Amino acid sequence: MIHQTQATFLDGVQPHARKGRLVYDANHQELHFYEKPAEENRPEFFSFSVDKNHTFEIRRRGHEHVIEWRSGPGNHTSAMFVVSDLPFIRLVRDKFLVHKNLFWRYATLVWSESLSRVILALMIGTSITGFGAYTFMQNSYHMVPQTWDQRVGDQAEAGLKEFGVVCSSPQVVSDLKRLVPYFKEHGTPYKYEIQVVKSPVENAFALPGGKITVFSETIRKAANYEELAGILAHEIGHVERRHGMQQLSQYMTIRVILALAFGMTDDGTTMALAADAGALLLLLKNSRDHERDADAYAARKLAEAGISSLAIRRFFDRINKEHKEGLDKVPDFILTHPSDADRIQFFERYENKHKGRMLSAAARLDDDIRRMLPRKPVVSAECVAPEEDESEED
Amino acid sequence: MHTGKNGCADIRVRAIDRLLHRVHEMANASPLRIAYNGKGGEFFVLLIKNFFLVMITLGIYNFWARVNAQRYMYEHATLAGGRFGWHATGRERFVGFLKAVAVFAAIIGINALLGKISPYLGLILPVAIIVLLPAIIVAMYRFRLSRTSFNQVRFRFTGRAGNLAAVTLKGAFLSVVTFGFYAPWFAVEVRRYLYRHTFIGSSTFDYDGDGGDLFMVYLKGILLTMITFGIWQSWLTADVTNYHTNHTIFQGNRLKGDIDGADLFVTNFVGKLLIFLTLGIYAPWWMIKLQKVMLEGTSLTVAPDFSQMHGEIDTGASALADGMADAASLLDNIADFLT
Repeated sequence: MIHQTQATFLDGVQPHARKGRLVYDANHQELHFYEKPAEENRPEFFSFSVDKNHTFEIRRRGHEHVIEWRSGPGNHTSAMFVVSDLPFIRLVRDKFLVHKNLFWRYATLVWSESLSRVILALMIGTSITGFGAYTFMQNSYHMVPQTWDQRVGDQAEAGLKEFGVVCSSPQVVSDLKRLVPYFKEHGTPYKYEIQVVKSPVENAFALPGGKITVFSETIRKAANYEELAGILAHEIGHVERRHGMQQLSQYMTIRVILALAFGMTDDGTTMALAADAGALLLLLKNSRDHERDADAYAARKLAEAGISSLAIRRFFDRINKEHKEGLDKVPDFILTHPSDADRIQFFERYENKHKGRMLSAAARLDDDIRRMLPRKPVVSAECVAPEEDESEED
Repeated sequence: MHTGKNGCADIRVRAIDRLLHRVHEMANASPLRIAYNGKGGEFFVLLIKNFFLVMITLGIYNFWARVNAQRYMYEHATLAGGRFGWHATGRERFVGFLKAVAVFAAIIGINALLGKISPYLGLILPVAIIVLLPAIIVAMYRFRLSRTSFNQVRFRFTGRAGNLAAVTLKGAFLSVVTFGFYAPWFAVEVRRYLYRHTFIGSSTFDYDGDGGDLFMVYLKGILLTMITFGIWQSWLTADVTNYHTNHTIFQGNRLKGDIDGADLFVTNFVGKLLIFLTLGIYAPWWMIKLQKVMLEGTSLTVAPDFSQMHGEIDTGASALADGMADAASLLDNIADFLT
């Protein structure tokens, strides 16, 4: 049986498209092109042949297919046949691409014909690479030495100015510092520092390396030191578990991948925006995990120190009730958190489970601390922020 | 009976054939105008495929992806019975990129060493790169043209870096001195330089635009854009593109540009609205439509002389310069994030 079809031939040198008949020669594994002259009544003649030693590319173009190959060394010129006969194209593909890399052969096959196979291959590929990238993203911070935390924290400190002015409230700071030894890990490389920032919103956060910032409003809202102790333990958890560094290395990983993917397109700006949004979206979930992790750390440390989590639970409850109407005003360290009910329940469950340990530790608790805990913390006059003006809120 | 039925079908088929032929002829009433027949749906599938493969390969497929998208854009444009083509390969672009990364790494390394010796020595390489910029641009242009084809005949760029450097140095200097007013004359000079060195076979392009005219086109456009709160922008784009097309000469004959600003406005307005409403899904359709409006506003005035377009092969074009642009953009992106 002769395999043949109508075809157009472009040789890469002459701009004329030549019409004719393309024949597959099974004996020699060659394609022969018989050209039909433009003048009527002239017989067709053999004009060209190409064998399987050429690197073929076969692809669809609208309703037709093209068979393209390099007609010289390097990518400086190429020739093509244009064919619209699908069975013929399949034949050529099977005969001429068979000696090529199996993966590419399969890939071309998959792309051109079966949508379900395309989707399957994409799904498998995406999950394998996705899992690899995710694992790398989650663990790459281990490659960063712990001594770097301090440096990163120092660098980030400049950004604190956006939140408010650092103010001096020596009593509160020294009181809180007395709690730190109970909450930090033994043999921790981090040097803890506590500072107060004058601000009308309640918040607190920890920078890598151990610098903890408490907003003055948080201190004002706290009924006693026991409540602040819970917040402090939570923030120390962030430092000890290196959440900041994890975030940073995750962000770096995503950014580099996305920059590779989108950063080099011609319409750079839109894609860069998309890349940024993508990075943030992927990180939001992680930061929630970090909050849970810091809560778990805080619950453990509170129990080990012999301080009940009842106070921190009350604090969460109160703050959240206060912010029920304006969600936008919920402070950062509550917003990205698991829902309040979950959180409160978590502390409660943990304490019930480890009640014995907590009570025995409570018996050993230093008398000074024991006396300090029920006291209401008083922030210095310098740190009292002016009342927030509702109308200026955006 | 049997034969009769067949014969009947035969006549009908022939009639339909004739009709189709007529329709085809009418559609090609002006073969000298570029026809663009890309389809949004096809382009959408292509972009989705690219997106997934880029994700799977952690960005590496990007080089292949851009080739595919570019090729789709080129291959669906036809003119005078011929078709445009794009022949770069992902592989050569990727290799070019890797080479460029190595070059940049070497430059940064050497520069750091020199900077340690003396801060003045650290300035040498950045200055050298700026001096080399015209060479990189010319090499990039040469690579891109050598991968562009019309009916499989590759384009060719014969310009030299020195000539471009002369044009740009003079242009940049005068633009600064005249507070930017020289920019249209500068643009015209660059275009003339690029077109005069662009060949297909032995046929060349030329450009006879005038800086003063272009200045007036811009002046009118910018004023109207300001008055109409940006609505005139589409007409400005159309006017400028048409101006350039109308002053482009191929084989001694002028090209004709007649993009309709209103078409462009509707395309952009409706397109952006639909992109917004469909959360971005409409984007490929819009890109195709925009390409169609822009390209179909371009035509030849005289049929091209194919006998003057026999391909000559430029074996010197290399993907390295293109890779340098990619590497520089990546570097820029990362630096942007780090600072």
